[in-house]
Amino acid sequence: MAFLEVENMSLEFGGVKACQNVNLKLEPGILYGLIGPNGAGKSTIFNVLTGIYPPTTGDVRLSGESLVGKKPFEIAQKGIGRTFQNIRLFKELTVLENVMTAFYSSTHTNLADQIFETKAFHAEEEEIRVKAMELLDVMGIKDLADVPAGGLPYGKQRKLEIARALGLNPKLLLLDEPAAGLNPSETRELTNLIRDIQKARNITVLLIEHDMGLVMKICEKIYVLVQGQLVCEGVAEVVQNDKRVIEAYLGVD
Amino acid sequence: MNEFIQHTINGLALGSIYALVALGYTMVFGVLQLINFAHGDIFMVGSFIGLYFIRFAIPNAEPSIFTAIMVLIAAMVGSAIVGVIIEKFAYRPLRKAPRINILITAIGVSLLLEYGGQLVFGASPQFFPDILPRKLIDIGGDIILDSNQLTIFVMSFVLMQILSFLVFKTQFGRSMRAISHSLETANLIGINVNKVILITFIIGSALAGAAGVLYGVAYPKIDPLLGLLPGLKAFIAAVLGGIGNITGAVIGAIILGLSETYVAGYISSTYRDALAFVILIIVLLVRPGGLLGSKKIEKV
Amino acid sequence: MGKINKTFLLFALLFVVAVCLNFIMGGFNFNLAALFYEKPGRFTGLISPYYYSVLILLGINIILSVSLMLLNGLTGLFTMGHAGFMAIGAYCSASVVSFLLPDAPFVVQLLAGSLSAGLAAGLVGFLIGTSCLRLAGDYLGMVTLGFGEIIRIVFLNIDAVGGARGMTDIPVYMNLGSVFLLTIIIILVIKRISNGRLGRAMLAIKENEMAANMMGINPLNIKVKAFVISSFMAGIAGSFFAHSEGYISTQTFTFAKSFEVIAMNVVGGLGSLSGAIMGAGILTVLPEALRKVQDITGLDIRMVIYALTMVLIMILRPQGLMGNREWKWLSSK
Repeated sequence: MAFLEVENMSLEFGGVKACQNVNLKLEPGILYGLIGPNGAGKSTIFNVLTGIYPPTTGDVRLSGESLVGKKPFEIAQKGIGRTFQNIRLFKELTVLENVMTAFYSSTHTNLADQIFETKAFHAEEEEIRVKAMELLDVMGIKDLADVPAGGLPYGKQRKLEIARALGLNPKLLLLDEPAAGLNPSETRELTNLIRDIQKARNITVLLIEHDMGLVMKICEKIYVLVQGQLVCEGVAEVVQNDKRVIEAYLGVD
Repeated sequence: MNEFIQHTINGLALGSIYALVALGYTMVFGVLQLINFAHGDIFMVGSFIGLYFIRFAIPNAEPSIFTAIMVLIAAMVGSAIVGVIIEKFAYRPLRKAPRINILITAIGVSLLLEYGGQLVFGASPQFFPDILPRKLIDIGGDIILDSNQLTIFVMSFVLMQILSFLVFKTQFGRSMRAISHSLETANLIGINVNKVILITFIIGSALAGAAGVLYGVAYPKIDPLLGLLPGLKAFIAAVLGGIGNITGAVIGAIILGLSETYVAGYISSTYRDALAFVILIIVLLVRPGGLLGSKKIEKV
Repeated sequence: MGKINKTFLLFALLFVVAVCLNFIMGGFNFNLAALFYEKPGRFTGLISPYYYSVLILLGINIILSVSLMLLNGLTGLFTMGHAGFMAIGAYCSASVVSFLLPDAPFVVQLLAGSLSAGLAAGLVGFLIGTSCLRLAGDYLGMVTLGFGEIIRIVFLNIDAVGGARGMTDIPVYMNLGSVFLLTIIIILVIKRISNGRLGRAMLAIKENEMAANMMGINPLNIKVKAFVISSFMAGIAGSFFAHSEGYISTQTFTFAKSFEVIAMNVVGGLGSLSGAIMGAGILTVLPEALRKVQDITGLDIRMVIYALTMVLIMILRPQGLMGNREWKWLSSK
């Protein structure tokens, strides 16, 4: 049994088929890529996995447990973290506080602890502060900890979003175009960072990306989505030489 | 049954006054997404402009349809000017500010008009003179039709027809509807957004001014705080119909006018004011878009 | 450890200030009653009864303003019915104390009054919160406006609490000393809520509800908590109001009062606790200070200037006077 299974999942919006019979089987500790032309429904799959849209038919299971009908925050608590294509940071919070919010569900101080600022409260705050700083360190933005997130340059915002998602301590990390809008050297740096983090923490990563160089370089297995349907899956070489993939990207003549 | 018909007649007259005010609320919300809390006070200003026009411009006029139309036009023009001043000096500088700021400004303008009104017109109620020859017509079975109610109803109807022509048949109307879909896009395709918003305020305020005069005709004691409750109720009527929706505002206002009159007549007048708020809550909880409104979905 | 000491010092200082204020006002009477719960029988001329009541009103308005800030500024929930929760607190506390504990000692009255007020308002806040929090933006504002007015009209129609005449002869056990001290405590409580785990979750929801969801935060849960805490405190403000004035009527709790509290938040700077306090200060003191202008000009121009100031602040300084900043003693760092 795979770690994350998507079985015959379809999603319709009033007759428009956004996804049709999608089947994914993600094994633990592997870096997957999800590619496809614009509008193929890649982000939609993320939205189904994270509970934002319930699938019209089919099932999504994490370690055998169905996620259908679960609320987005419950799914997040079960260990699925994600980033967004259009960055969604808490702009007025500092960089550090952004990451600290991710520890919300794993901390337990109650209102009384907070109002009386008990020892437990201080200990826990300190603990998550340290953990959050470590994550910022990993992403290389530790020195910006006290800057409001909205004031960061674009590339750093992308990194912060990943750091924040890691704060959940996820088993599965969904990255939605993490390199979009970055220049080549930033992309290269981020590519290596993603692979390092994935290996070091031994988590499963599913990555949407248009930068084929990045995908082919780090993804161990790639899914190709065209018009809401998976047309191909396999390692980089298989995908690169698949006729349907080439057609989808270059057109048929 | 006769009592019911009597209440219905009264309710329709009240509802048509609400409708004129509600139209202004809904039009401004359509273009600016602003609950213009000062709108009820423009209604009050219209009433007073009417009063002072009679007192100083045509002191010896006999009550007649002609007099009434003159007073109505004076109040509409005066209110429109007030509306323009408010939009230009209070709302326009805040076009890019957070919405809550504009809302607070609207509340500030509302207070300004109320207290300014007390300063200029005096705080005590004043009598609104007859501008129409009033006849009470017994149409059988103890049902009394007040000719004033009939006039209110007819005049509101005519004004609404003019408005619907403006909104649905003219270039201005198309621009206005375009802005209510998306202000940015309207701007990009070359619509003069500020001009259209200004015209929206002119029309909305003129209608409120007219409503103010008709209110004075129906309830001839007016004071500077007059706009508070009818203003709020007209706003609720607009929400009931689906805020931003012009037909909805009229339907909502008629429903509110009727149900208020029924509650006051059959249950108790002390709960009449609560009714509007109960309606507001039920509508928002059950159908937040109002009767004719549509639901919006957040895109991820 | 340093932090605890600082808080302790702050409390000690505030205690001394409160004691001094009452000492000066209450005719240099140095006993517990005069300091904390008796309305001064005579005033020493240094501060007149009029200023005394303005200062009490200031404390109550600060509580209302900071409690609304928790909802509006911190969680991003726009509500327009704060006066309704204040009304529940005022009427509930006044009834409990007048009908059940008219002769109880100060501490019992204070505890019973404030707690019943806070719990009743909090309960109603919970009910309203759970039923309307799926609404967003202006719609939440409208529906809370409706609830606020309905609450007021219900009290208007209950004869046991005086109906339209209002409720009179409420035991007066709050004086400037206790109002002042409790106001400070409530400010500190709000500050601590906003600085910790819950406050971060609230801000996250305000900034981006979708992303907060993805962080495992249950938005509905946090919003209801914010609603309950905020209405609890508004209820307490109502209780303080009832027991320092000795008289309440539904006229005080109209939607105009709710708007006034929103204005305090926005004038001071939405999202800033210091701003909420400053806004409450300005909007309480300004209309009183303008009485002088009225005396000089002989015109009823006071409220006109008040309204104009509100509009001008919004136009000239849309982010409010404090913006997002905090005074040093209220900042988290």
